Amino acid sequence: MGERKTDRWIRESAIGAGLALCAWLSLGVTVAIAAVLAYETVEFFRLPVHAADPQLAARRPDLQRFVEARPDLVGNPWRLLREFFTETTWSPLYSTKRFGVLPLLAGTVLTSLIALAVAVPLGLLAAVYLSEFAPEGVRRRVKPALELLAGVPTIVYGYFALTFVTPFLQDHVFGQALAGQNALSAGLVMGIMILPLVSSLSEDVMRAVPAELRHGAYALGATPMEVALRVVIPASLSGIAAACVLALSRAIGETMIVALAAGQTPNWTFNPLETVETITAFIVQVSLGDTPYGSVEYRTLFAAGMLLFVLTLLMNLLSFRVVQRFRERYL
Amino acid sequence: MSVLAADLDGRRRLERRRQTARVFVAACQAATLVGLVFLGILLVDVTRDGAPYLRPELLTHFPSRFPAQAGYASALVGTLYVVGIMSLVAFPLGVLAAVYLEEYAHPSPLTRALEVNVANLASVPSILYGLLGLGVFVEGMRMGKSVLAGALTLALLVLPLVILASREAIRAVPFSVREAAYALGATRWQVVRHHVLPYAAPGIFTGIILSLSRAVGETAPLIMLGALQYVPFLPRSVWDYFTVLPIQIFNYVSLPNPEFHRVAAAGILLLLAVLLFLNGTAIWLRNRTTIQG
Repeated sequence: MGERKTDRWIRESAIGAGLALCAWLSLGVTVAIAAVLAYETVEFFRLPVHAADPQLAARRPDLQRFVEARPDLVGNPWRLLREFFTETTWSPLYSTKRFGVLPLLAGTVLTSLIALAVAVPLGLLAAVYLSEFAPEGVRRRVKPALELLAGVPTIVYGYFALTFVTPFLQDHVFGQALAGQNALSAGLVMGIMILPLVSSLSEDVMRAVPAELRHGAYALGATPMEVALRVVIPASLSGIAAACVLALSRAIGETMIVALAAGQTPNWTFNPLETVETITAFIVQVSLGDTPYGSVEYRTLFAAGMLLFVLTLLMNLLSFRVVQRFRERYL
Repeated sequence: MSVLAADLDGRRRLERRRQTARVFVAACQAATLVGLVFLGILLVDVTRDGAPYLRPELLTHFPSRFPAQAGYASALVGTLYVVGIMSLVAFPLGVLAAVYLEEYAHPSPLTRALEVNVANLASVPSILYGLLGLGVFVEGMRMGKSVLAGALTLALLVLPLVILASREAIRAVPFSVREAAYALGATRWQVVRHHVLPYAAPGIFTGIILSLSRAVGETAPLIMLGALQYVPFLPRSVWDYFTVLPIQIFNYVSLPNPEFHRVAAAGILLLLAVLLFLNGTAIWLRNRTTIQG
């Protein structure tokens, strides 16, 4: 009996350890993402250092090309760093290589802001309707139907933005002032994609607002609109803000819609009618070509990816903070 | 001002406020409709573009320079292959990790960090998983741009989703079930294996199928791992090049010839049919196997 008990204990412990391993693996993924991005990003900014070593440069054709394209950067990683964050020309794929990432950042910010401008007002109004005014039956059907929007593959949205929305806007609104690939269509369609994120999450927090607060306002003679705008929305503001930040984070990381509909030309502009390139679209563009491992182009991929990672991480932290700081408690 | 006039003024103001409220409610209704109308237009547009190209050859033909010849054979088989291998890796791992977090882990700062991390991973842009796959699987482990590298990358991508869904399902199992089993002398693993998991199975399967449909529609990370313009063969081993449905669609959309856009639209209809089937199965499973508590 005693021996069997030990066997059983050993087996149970082994199973427990195995399960723990599975769980810790998920943390490993995060560490791996951060490590790969960090390593390749550091390698990118060390290119001038490597290129300054003639023996190394003689062995690596990518370094030779780097020296030919940008002799002014050789031996000067700080200048590369400054160029990356302050200059407005991004052309690592051309023979005259410039590494100012601001155009990609501008494209990302522009398309994301357009998406937010669509998703936040529409999503909030929809959430107010579903939580405050809709009959239960309508709510039960419409909410999942809206959530379908988030389940449509982004390639489908990309196709739709490129082949329907842009021609439609060209024919009926802007004429030829609207480029065939532009920030506006991409942003509009992306806004619809993230709409359910805003509406669903906001609706959840609005429903969590205690009914007594609404009853109190109605007892004072408020109209349904006044209850929604002055009681329910302020009470659920932290959740709404978190949902919006999450939606923004999703928009920043969205790839296929912008790759197809916004374009592949890094453009330092905030004009939504023009072609722009986002960070994600640039990553796709490089991946479509055949970039050899370790080349300059290969490294820029990770430097741009790192920027994206940091941006979305900041957004997630921000949304976490917002919820913590502004949460209303009803006890 | 007489009492009567003040009263009249108050009534008028009240009427105006009610009027504004009605307009506001209508605006809310309209906003709710926008998303649904958009979805409707999208479906009608894609169907109109793609329906004429929806032929049996679409399933048997390989990519071609001629729109009339072009098909999705290699993409369909590639999707099955990649998603199949992904399932073998991601689903056991995810469910077991969820079991650990719900049934085994003691609350501690470390466990808390693990939980926050899983939630955070779910919001990392998918294209960064592509960079991870490129750096670790394709170059680091020298798998090349193969079926295996693609499947493993997708597995990491859906892992947090599987964990989150499975945890929800496991948490919904009533404690009385566990207590009854423990009372009869079952070990922790026996409780999990024979009672908690069967009870949570419908919820777990629903989560798994939803992750599956996410993986089927995913494009961005795989572009970095296998976006070959032209794969005129079926992958035979896990080391082969591959393409998947969304990427083949992306290739056709990117071509300048508008005829290819129709082939892409037909491919989108295929993709949506697959997703509809998967989601339908998820709903059916949930309804059929839910144990009445």
